[in-house]
Amino acid sequence: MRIVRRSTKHSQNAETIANNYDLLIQILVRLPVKSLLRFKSVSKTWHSIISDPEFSCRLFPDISGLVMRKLGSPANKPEYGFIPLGNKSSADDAPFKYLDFINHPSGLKVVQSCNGLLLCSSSRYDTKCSYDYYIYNPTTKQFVMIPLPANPQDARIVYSLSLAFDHTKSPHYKVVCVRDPDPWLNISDDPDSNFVSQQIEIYSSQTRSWRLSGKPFLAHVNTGFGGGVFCNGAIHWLGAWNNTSFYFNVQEEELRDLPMPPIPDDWEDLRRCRYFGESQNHLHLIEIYHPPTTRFSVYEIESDYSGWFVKYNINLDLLTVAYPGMVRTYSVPSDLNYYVFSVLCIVRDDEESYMVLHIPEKAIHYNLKDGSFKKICDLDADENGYKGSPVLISLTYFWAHHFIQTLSPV
Amino acid sequence: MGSTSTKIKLRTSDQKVFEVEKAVAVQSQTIKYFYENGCPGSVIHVHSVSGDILSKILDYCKKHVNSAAGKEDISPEELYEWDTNFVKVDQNTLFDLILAANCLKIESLLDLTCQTVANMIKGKRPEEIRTTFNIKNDYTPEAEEAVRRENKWAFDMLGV
Repeated sequence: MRIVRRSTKHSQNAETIANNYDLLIQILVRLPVKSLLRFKSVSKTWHSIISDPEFSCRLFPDISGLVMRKLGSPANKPEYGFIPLGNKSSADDAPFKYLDFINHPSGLKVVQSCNGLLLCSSSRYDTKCSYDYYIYNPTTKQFVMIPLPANPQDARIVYSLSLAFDHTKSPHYKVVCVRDPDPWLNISDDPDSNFVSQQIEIYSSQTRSWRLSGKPFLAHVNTGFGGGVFCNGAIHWLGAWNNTSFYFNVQEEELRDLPMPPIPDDWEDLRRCRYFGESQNHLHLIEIYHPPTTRFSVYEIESDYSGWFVKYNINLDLLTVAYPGMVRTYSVPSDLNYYVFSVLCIVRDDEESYMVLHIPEKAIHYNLKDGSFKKICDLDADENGYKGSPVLISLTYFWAHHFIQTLSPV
Repeated sequence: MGSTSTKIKLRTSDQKVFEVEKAVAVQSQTIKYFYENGCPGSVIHVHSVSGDILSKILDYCKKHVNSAAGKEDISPEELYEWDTNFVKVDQNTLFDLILAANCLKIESLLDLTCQTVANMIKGKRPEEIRTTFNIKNDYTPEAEEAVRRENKWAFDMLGV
């Protein structure tokens, strides 16, 4: 008798929770994305809750890994490696090895990762100098093609696209295009000018259309509007020369100078940025000039954009002892590439902030607070480098993009 | 004499009466509201909560009030450990705690218990979810198959 009563009460309780949508959502938002996709088949009600864009805005997305372009993989079929991050992720969670959501003749590559959505483009431009662009959600495998802004003269125009998406603010994303008119046209306008006119256009996933933002403006020919980093509602572009870095606040639609640390006077080359990326709305920068070093600083931009401050001081001396392969002992210590490492990612986290390093054949987790480190996983060796000479060590992957699981619609 | 601390009287669904320190009781936003807007000294009825569950919930509130006020020397890690043990209860009690935390409006306890349920169900199959929550499958077999196919990868290597 008692047992029967208990079991009835049990199901009543659970049923009460399942029928209280506020409570049910409180539980569902705490589930991993993979469970949620599976639970769409529980019932029609669960399906509609989980598919609601407002619901996906409430999920807590953690970075679950990095996807990186493999060096030397063919342009028409770029290959991507994966480094799992966080304690919930493993090598099996790699979202893709090749971007083959459509069979594009020139292959597809990742341009930018922004809070779980990827901006992808065809790997090579077509006869009109333009690429095909797509927004791809690697978690749900959904994708959509982004048409380029109207081009009435059918002119040769270079477009640079950047993705702006913050699921905590809106389920919709925007794509910012900086349109670079045909360089030949500009030179014929004024052959002495080092400045070209540019125009910003914005695409919204809500309206599925482009519109002009502001008036045309002049930018130095050396300004590049590629490789944008979205952070705190703005897209940031790092220029290789002094005074060629900008940021664009997508809400206010305002383009401003991004103040950068000056390039050292005795350095006669381009800006030597080793890392430029975002984590938890913090924008980070690492630059290393002469001499080659294992000790450097991670800078963070001030919230008012007045400048950069030293957020972390890094010392990789012990790492080079543990992994002597990251020192090119066959070279001279003044060789800029004497130490072989690249910074793939800086992750800010309330529990532990860390840096992900790529050293030959390995990915390393470096604790930013105490400098302790551990191997995350092995990475493929650079076959091309080894073929030439067994001692010419180098790195296999570059251009790491965050992989964040999200249900956000494209 | 301890006369400095105000006590609040609570009566549960099974007519049990608890006399609770005010600081502990007002962790519940619902009790706080009734205390501030009701007659001083009157008994507050918590109709939907049984004595067993209320007693557990008051343990939780006491622990967190004491730790926040520095009355108890406990590190954040130790409190986390304590919370983890607190929710090591059978499924039925866990659901009782969620409903009570929701009705009494104790946000941190609601977070804790909902996260516990999420951890408990995250690796389950849809059939098991239906059994746990007594949900009727309102899909036709064809429609269910279509939804499953659409999210096929989420069924590979079940578990997370």
